[in-house]
Amino acid sequence: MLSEGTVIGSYKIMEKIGAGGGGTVYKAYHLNLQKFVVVKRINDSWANVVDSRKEADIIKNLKHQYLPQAYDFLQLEDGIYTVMDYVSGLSVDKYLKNNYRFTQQHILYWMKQAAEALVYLHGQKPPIIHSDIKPANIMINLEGNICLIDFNVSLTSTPDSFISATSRGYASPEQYLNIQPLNQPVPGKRFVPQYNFDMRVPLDQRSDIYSLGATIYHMITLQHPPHYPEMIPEIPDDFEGFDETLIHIVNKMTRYDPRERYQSAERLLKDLNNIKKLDKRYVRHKRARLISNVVFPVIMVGAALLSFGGYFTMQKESDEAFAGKISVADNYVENKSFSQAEQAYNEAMDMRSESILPYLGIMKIYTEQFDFETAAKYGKDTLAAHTFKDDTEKDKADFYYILGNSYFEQENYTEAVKWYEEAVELNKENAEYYRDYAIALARNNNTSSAKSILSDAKHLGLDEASVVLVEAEIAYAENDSETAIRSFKKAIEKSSNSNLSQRASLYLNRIYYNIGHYDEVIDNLVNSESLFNESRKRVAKLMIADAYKGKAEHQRQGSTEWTEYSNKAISYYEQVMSGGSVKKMTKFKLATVYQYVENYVGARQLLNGMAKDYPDDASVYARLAMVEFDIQAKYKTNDYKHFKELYDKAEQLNKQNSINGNDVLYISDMRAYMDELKEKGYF
Amino acid sequence: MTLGTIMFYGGIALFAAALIGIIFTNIILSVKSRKLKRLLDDEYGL
Repeated sequence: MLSEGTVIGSYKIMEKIGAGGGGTVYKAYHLNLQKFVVVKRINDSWANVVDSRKEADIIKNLKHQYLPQAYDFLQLEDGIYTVMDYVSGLSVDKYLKNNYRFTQQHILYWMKQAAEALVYLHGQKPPIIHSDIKPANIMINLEGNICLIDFNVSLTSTPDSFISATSRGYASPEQYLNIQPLNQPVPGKRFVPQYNFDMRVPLDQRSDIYSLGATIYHMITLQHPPHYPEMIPEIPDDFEGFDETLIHIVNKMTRYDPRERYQSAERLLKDLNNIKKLDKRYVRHKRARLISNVVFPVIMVGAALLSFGGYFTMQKESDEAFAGKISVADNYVENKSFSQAEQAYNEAMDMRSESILPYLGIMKIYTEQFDFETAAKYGKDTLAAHTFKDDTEKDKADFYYILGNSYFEQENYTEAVKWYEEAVELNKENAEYYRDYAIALARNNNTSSAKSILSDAKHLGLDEASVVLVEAEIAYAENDSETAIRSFKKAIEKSSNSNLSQRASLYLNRIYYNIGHYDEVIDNLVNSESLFNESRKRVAKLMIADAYKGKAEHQRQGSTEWTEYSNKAISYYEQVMSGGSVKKMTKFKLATVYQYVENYVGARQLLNGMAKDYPDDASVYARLAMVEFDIQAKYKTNDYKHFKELYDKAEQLNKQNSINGNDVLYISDMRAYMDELKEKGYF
Repeated sequence: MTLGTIMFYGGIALFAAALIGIIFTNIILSVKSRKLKRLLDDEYGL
């Protein structure tokens, strides 16, 4: 032991300030630097294994804010000394002796500093193991920071790094194992332990981690860690004043098995720096955030997908509902329930105002009732008033086609051509559109275009019977009736389609009628009337009526045949009239035949009805005037006052409505009647 | 009410609910986060 005032090298010993397993510590005065230093004399038992020079170089090079600066390493005759900074302040053990209760914040603060110091020591090449961390070797300086003192003999992690201090309770179990002496103390004799160095376990950084953990254990619990071989008990999680996270870290540091401890000071420091993030409350909070940021967005994405799916499902349902409504309406049309059909189509319009299909349906209602005039007007008005966006080109083409048919049936072939052309523009693949377009062109006397369209239709695969039908129409338009008749017959023969054969048959008989072959018409149509569908049956009846009327007009007026044919014509006209809307001309024809059989009441009733429907039509009044003339002539009343009124009205309307100065129908006939009356001196 | 309508409006309602939920939860968690930070700073030191 060195006495006060002893001078070792440049150091004057002032007082002994401590002693431990590693050696005795003195406060000394550096005679050259004029400052206090710490001189430690290393125990003799270790001195023989220290590589003095090597250790001196290592210690001198250490520079860290939480480690004392080593100044010197002296190998003197009486022992080995290390000289380091003197740290003003108190060591932790001083606090502990006074049962000072450290706060968690202080302990954590110092733990981080100690861990940083260990990271530095262990990071040296080769790593330096402190090997004697304990409360007495942790100084709290005047600034409140720690200083890890007493580097005994700082030990490198080399194969001979089993030399260690053995501060009881703080030394790791592996340190204890290394210092089990081979010999036993003998009473009365100085005990010098003998070690079998070959059996020792090399120490590593985990040993320092254990010692630091044991020190912290003491600081938290104020209980000295138990001595080897007793294990340091775990600090309970709910230890008062300390958080579970810190307790876990300390418990992990003091595991008996080095493999269960922190494997490095870096890892320990990392946990200490992140201790807030390791706290269960923080982890729970973080988890809640994660759940919130994952679950809600997932729900939102799911909801968005659901909504998108719903939107498309709604569209599909709407399409299906609309298609269903149209289908129901179409069925009503098929079953001739026209008011219900109209209601259903109107409902369909409310569902989808931009679809042409309900309007197409309404047109079908009119055409099924043979009211082609209304159908055509409705079609044109509809196109003028609406812009249809929801439909395919095909639907629109169908609409134009029906509109074309409506005009065709009214024998307004110019308009029919126009709408068929529109239909063909929108649907270039429907051969039937081309067929009817070509027929309309032929009827409009545009045979060259009709031939061109027929050629297009052939390319689209128009069936042979239809081709022949169109060829017949073209031939008839070119005044080749014989070829037309032959072709129509061929079309009837070739056609496997009843619709087409019906059309061909009607067209054929139209030619017969036009060339005055009334008997052919009557024979052909009366016998095959049942073969026609409702629509064509009506046309056939009309043609029969026209044929009988024609036959009557070829008989002597007032003869039996005249009356018979006229009555038959009336019968057919009335059947046609009862079947639905008819053309104005048909009504005129019926009125004419009524006159033939002197049914003036019927004629006048019919024409008065027409006058209401067509108040501006001069022909109606002209015809009425002619009926009035016949009545006066028959009953010899010779009161032509009413005739004159009707005549004047007809002339007035004719003047107003005539086109290019041409008189309307019956005006010239009526004037002939007037001339006769004038000759007779009535006017 | 059709399936599509239920899906469409249900999806919108669910989306809105989730949006409100995430905003509300984030507000609560932000408040809690500040409180927890203060608590942990207090317990472990800054």
